[in-house]
Amino acid sequence: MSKETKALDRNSILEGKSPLALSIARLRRNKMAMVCFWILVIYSLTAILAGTNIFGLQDQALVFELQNRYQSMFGSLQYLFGTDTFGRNVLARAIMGTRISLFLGLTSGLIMIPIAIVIGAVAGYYGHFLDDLAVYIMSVIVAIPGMLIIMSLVQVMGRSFLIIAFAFAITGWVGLARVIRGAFFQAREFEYVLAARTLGANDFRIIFKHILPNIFHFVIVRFVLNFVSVIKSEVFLAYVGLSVIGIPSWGNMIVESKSELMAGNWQNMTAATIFMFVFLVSLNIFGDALRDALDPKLKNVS
Amino acid sequence: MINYMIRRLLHLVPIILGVALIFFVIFNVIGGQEKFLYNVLPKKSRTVEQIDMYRHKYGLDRPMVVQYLDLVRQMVTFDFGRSEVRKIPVKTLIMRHVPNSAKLTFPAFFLEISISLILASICAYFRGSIFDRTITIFSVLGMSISMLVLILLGQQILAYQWGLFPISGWVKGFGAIRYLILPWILWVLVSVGYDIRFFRTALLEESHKDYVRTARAKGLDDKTIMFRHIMRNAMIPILTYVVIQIPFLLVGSILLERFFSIPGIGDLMVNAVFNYDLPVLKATIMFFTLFFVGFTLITDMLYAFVDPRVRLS
Amino acid sequence: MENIAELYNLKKHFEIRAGILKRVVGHVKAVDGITFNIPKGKTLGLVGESGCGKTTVGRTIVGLYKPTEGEMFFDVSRENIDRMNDLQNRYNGFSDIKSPEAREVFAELEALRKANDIYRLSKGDLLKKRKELQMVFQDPYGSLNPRIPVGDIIGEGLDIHKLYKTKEERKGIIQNLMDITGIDPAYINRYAHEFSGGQRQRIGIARALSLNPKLIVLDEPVSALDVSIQVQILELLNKLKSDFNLTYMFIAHDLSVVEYFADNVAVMYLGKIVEIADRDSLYKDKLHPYTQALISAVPLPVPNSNRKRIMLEGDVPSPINPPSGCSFHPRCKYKMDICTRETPELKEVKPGHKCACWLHEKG
Ligand SMILES: Nc1ncnc2c1ncn2[C@@H]1O[C@H](COP(=O)(O)OP(=O)(O)OP(=O)(O)O)[C@@H](O)[C@H]1O
Ligand code: SF4
Ligand SMILES: [Mg+2]
Repeated sequence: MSKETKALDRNSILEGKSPLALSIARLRRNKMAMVCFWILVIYSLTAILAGTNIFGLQDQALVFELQNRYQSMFGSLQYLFGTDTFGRNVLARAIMGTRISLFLGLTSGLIMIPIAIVIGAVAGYYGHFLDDLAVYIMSVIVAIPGMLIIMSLVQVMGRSFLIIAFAFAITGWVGLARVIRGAFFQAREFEYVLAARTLGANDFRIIFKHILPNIFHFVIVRFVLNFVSVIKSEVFLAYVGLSVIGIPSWGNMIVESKSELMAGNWQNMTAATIFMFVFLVSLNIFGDALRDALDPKLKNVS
Repeated sequence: MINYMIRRLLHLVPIILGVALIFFVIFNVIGGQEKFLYNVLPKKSRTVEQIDMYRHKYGLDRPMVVQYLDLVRQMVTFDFGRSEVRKIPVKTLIMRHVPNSAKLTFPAFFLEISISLILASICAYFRGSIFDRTITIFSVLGMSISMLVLILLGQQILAYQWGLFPISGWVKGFGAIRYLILPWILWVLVSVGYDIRFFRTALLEESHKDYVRTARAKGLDDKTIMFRHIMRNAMIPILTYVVIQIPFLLVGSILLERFFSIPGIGDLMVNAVFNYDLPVLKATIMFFTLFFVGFTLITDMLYAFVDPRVRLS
Repeated sequence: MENIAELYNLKKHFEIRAGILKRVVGHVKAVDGITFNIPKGKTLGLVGESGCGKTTVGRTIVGLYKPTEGEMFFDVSRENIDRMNDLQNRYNGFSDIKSPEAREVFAELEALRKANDIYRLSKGDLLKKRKELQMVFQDPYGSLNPRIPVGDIIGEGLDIHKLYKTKEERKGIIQNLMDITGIDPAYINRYAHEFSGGQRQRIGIARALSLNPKLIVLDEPVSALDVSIQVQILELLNKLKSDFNLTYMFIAHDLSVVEYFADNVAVMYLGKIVEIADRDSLYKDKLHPYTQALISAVPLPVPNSNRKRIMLEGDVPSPINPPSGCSFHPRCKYKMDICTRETPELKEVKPGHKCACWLHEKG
């Protein structure tokens, strides 16, 4: 008996806390991760702001002011990163680029996740023919270099924002679907799933109430880290000339800087690199912390 | 064993059909043929008749199913005709470019893996030390930098401003090493971050297992445990991680090849996408797929050879 | 004596698939033709070494696995059972089974079986029956969903079968169940990770009890617990049994627990029942050589766990390719010629005591 009461006493401060609440508490104790989290929030707000023409942001980013070319960096806050070949405000362009990058990551994530969940869950839970089919589709996609599919799709379908996001999703879902498939496959035989079935629960209830919530951390972590790969890939697409047209993106800025560097004009390069680097570092650190905090295997609360 | 090999080879057929289908849908169903025709057409004669003539010449006026089967036939026989853009047989083109990509990527990959393995082992052994923490931080920073930025900085500063390396160029034979050093360094810089983290985690995970505790309880010293037990067992996930990357090495690094004028297959691929040079594109995809699947086949067979249980499942 | 459940020739073979076409290359014969009754209001112990198919039997009984073959009549009225036996005897008596009379008897028998065999019920009927067949699982850590408060875990059956009208009523039922099983009802909103192994097992029992079952399969419910807690849980189970008129099927590998807890004992080896009798008779005259070995074998503690495992000499043969004849013959010290050739059937050797061994097959 003493052992049983002890288990409760030890946790009495945490009583009634769900595993999710415990995970969040764990995450909040990680200072580094919280700093990164707030940086990511700032980026998100910036991205939303960049959708409006606040402070004449969009005008400064897009309109040519040739008499104003190549202003040097760090002169004033408004022209923190100077101006480019056409006299556009590089800071404003980097802010607009934030918008493109974040929305590309968000959109492709939102396309990719339902695909991955449905295919992974169906394959892992029902097995047999459906599983064979899913595994087949995945092995075909894996057999072609991802970047090649993305490039071909964008080249053929056009360089629009949605198509680029779609292309990223088409290659990106496979990894997540595999993880989900494996998790479902195992979860089918978990005793708490069997218990629910003994009570009479149907497939829908078992999938959505018992299995998915217990593997959802895979989805969340992948969603966060998807931004990293999307942003890096966008730079690549920009280099091969297949990123969004007419809108400044970090990739487009870096590519433009290629011809400016020789003449010693570092504005585009500096701004895009700093914006991107800080964002990616924060994503990577936060993503890792999230993975550790959400992992149900880590039982230690302290 | 032979039975197993045949079964695995049969596996290839549906994969090739599927790859052909994806490719076919992108370029023949969604679009691309018109632009392909436009590109191959002689500049002066873009009349309707001419276009129809060329359409007929390339069989694009046949039913979709026939076109698809034709693509499959090409893929199986690996006969893609001539590159209409470069006016060279496609096979020659591929054979010329693949070795150059290999020269770039294989040594780079070898360097990358060796360096990360060494650093990760030190980190795992002295876990929590300043060295460990510094390397961990640098890994995250490395994972967060774009390859394009690194290339631009490297080429601009190290090669152009400081003149440490040739900016770009290529010669046949061993002389190419001169042009490859900077690309190798850049390759290693962008990839070690991921590797170190993976290896370090694999090693640490292994060191948390029960048998390590038992070994420690028995009084074995840290060094023996690390090298005799942990390293050996962690080798399985590490090897798998390394092996699955090898097929991708053949595609080379598109960015490095283009910036340093290395005539590799990545470069070829991008150009093919751009020019709608469909024969070359088909050939590169097919080449890669075959290599990829063949390679997984070989590793699977090796696994099966080592562990007979695999053959059953 | 009345039976809550009667099982006839139950088989569960798991398919082993391999190759591209995923062809079936073999079967794990986890349960390979077992016939026995579960007497109402009693506890039937099922013992055997690890891997002999105990869990599979239990899960097939509660309907988690669909059997490869066999029938189970659960809570069927005496008349129906008698009627079926009667029809079966008459049918067996016909010399010409194609005669119209024989066909008529057979048709009636089939109709009765179809209506009563739990594995042939329609989905809706099965769902209703299932309420009466519940299970308590082996692993106190794996059997509770970590993301659902224990109140909702216990109340899930009520939700599925809509057994309440208001939220308050639901809460009342759940708290009552917690009270009965010895969990403080104040903990209704806590999560599984806050409870110890013994308490979790109590929650599992409350969950099984929530649907007013008639038969509960207890799959090694105490083997993962400390000895002192084992006793408490067993006492709780005994109390619940008499309070709620329950019948238990108690799966265990620890013979001393079975001796303490069960009224009747069935001994299983490689998917088959080799001996079945009431407890006293079985522990007094162990007829089957396997039972003798099992009872005399020393339980060995398994490293890194508080479980004890029974060790017999030699390995358990693979259930994929069980030995010919009596599957125990490779390890049996009384092995005779016939044992390798022919399979002994489970036959009544003494009143109420059945055994499947050629030693006791006296003409
Ligand atoms: N879902 C399944 N698929 C394939 N084989 C299975 C499955 N479940 C069980 N088996 C096999 O069936 C046999 C019997 O397993 P079962 O779990 O019923 O044994 P057990 O007597 O409960 O053993 P233990 O004491 O270890 O719990 C074993 O060989 C096992 O490997
Ligand atoms: S039938 Fe033969 S082999 Fe089997 S238990 Fe009896 S004596 Fe031993
Ligand atoms: Mg079991």
